[in-house]
Amino acid sequence: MHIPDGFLSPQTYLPAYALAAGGWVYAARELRRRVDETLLPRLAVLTALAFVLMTVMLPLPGGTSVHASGIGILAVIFGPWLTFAVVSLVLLLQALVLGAGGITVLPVNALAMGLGGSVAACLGYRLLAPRWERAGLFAAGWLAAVVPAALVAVVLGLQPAIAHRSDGQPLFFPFGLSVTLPAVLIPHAILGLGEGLLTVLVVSFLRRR
Amino acid sequence: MRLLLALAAALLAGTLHAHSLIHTAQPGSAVIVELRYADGSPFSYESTEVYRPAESVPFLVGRTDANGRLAFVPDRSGDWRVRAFSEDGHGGDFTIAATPDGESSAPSTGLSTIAALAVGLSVIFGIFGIWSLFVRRRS
Repeated sequence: MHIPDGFLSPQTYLPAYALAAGGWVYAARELRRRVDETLLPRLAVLTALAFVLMTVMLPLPGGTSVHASGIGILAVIFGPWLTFAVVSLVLLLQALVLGAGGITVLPVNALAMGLGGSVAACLGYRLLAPRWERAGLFAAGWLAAVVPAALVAVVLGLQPAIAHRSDGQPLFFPFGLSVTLPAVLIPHAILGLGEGLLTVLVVSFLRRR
Repeated sequence: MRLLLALAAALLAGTLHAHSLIHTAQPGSAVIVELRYADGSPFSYESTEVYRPAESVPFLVGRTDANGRLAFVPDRSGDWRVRAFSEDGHGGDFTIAATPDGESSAPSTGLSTIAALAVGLSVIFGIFGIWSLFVRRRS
């Protein structure tokens, strides 16, 4: 799901850096306010789980591959800001040690996955959980996969309009929205079913502990 | 008359050959780039662009083959830029040092997945572990 380096124009990632920097400052304050001896081990384990899930690529029919993220789990347990902070750390590590994603595109990936995904997951959970706890958890996982995919597809699909040569040739990612939206969303709508199930299983397991 | 016939034959021959493509097979050294997903499956039939060193107009535009490979024959030395895109946002943008005499070297793609996983997990638990020590000491 995360966009590689070289796919986004500076007109996209520079404003995204400014926006994400504000989010990182707020998330750091939130972390500092809530941090205690019981929070840190749980946050460490679930951050590690997110790192592993984002590294394991699942091949899909048609030649593409997707990965789970664990963002639904993090969002339900810790809320959107702590999730944004730790997902940003995971994405930074993935860029540095795995070459997945990148440094220029880090704020876009972090905003789409860490913030967009976790806010959607929290909203879905809060909407359904008072009546149907498990449906709320499943919705959190599904939304945590689909909403970042939609945001990534929009950012990628806008690149030909944002940055192109005088003859119209795209300078960065070459496909428009009509291509990226179905290409990114359909695999992630399927992946979201697995992510939803994983969220139900992991959060239910952790609450029994 | 002979001259007229010869002229007509020459013109006709020129017309016949005007739309033909001459092909030759040249044994030589091409740079073959293989692109794979992290799970090892090939990055098949996806869009690619190859740029000469320091040029912004593509030298070659095409698609990877069934095995996720693309090939180009460098006509000058330097860092050749290779871009590959799938419609769902996978791909890469990297350089390969290549020369016309066939020598090429791509920058290392880094650690294996298992090694990268181990490094990443160590960093995560290291950061949270050290942070826990500070929090415990403060409280």
